[in-house]
Amino acid sequence: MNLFDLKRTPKPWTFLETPVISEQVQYRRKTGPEAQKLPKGGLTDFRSNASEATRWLEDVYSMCARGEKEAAIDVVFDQIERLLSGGEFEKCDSVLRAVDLQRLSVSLILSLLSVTLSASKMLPYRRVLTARTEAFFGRNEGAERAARLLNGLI
Amino acid sequence: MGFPVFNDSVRFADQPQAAAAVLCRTEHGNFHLGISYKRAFGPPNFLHLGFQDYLSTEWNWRFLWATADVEPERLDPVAGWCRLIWNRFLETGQLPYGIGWDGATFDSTGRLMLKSGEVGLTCSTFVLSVFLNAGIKVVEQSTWPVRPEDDAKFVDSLASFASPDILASLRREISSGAVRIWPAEVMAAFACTIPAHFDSARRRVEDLAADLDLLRP
Repeated sequence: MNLFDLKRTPKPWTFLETPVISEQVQYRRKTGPEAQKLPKGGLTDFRSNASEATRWLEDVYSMCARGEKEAAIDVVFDQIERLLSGGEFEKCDSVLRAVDLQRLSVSLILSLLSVTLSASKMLPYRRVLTARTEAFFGRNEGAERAARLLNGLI
Repeated sequence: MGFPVFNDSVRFADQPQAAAAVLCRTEHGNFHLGISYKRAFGPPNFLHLGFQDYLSTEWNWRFLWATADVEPERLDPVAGWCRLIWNRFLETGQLPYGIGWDGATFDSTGRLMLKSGEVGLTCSTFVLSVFLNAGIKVVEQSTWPVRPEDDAKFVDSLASFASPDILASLRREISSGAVRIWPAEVMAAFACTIPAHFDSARRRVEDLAADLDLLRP
């Protein structure tokens, strides 16, 4: 295929190429009519109550526990993006405040710090979270690895 | 250090890393750089900037891949960024093309945030920006030289399909001393201690070119 002759035909979603659509993938799409098709008793609709902006974290914890790393990272990126693109910095900060580091994998913690990095000036609690993370990684991963994990994210 | 390897020999899909830079030589003979990243389901995806407003997940070339010498978990956010940037692009259809790069990154919504003097990204700097978003600085761009003659030839090679406006913009950048980081240099940088300096990366480029030529039919 010729790179420069290609007509741009972006697909609506990359995961539509995948024959099996999981609960987690549906979770990403639940803002439209698909929201009506979500499995019962499964995932939380955080949008139904603005005061519960951190509830989706429970889903992320569950995904982490099940080893669904990529899906959990997608949820973190999507939800933080939704909050920040809507200018909801206080809610985003409350998410950072509510994070239970013990229930997240290293990958998820780094993803959370990465996706909030550009908005760090608007998220006062992020600095606290990075300090908590530094201490947490230091205890669990050792000081050297903690430094390598957090380099560029603080 | 993340030495580049042929995907034919060591399949990226079978490795634990979540994201890697991928380098190919296209049918036109030029090098092209992109990112391959893991997702929740299915084989690894690709994301690469072909040209102005042409971000694509289609990749049809054999390639070398490499990733930075970082803790493996550091690469997971790179994959997250790829998915976010692609979703953003599907909404806007826009991603500007430009030569100079001084550390542009994407904001939390996947929107490109250019720095002063930057106009857009190339395939190379797109990869650098995505990795930088994950806190991984692959090159020390201040060590890259200005190569106006080479860059002018590069822009001339785009003339068959690029609009006059974009060609003029690229030529303005070259005139004003913009530094172009070449695709093979970025791939070579992954094999260096990062952030790689120009001399270290450049020394490895010829080997990479020879390697990629082995893939030619």
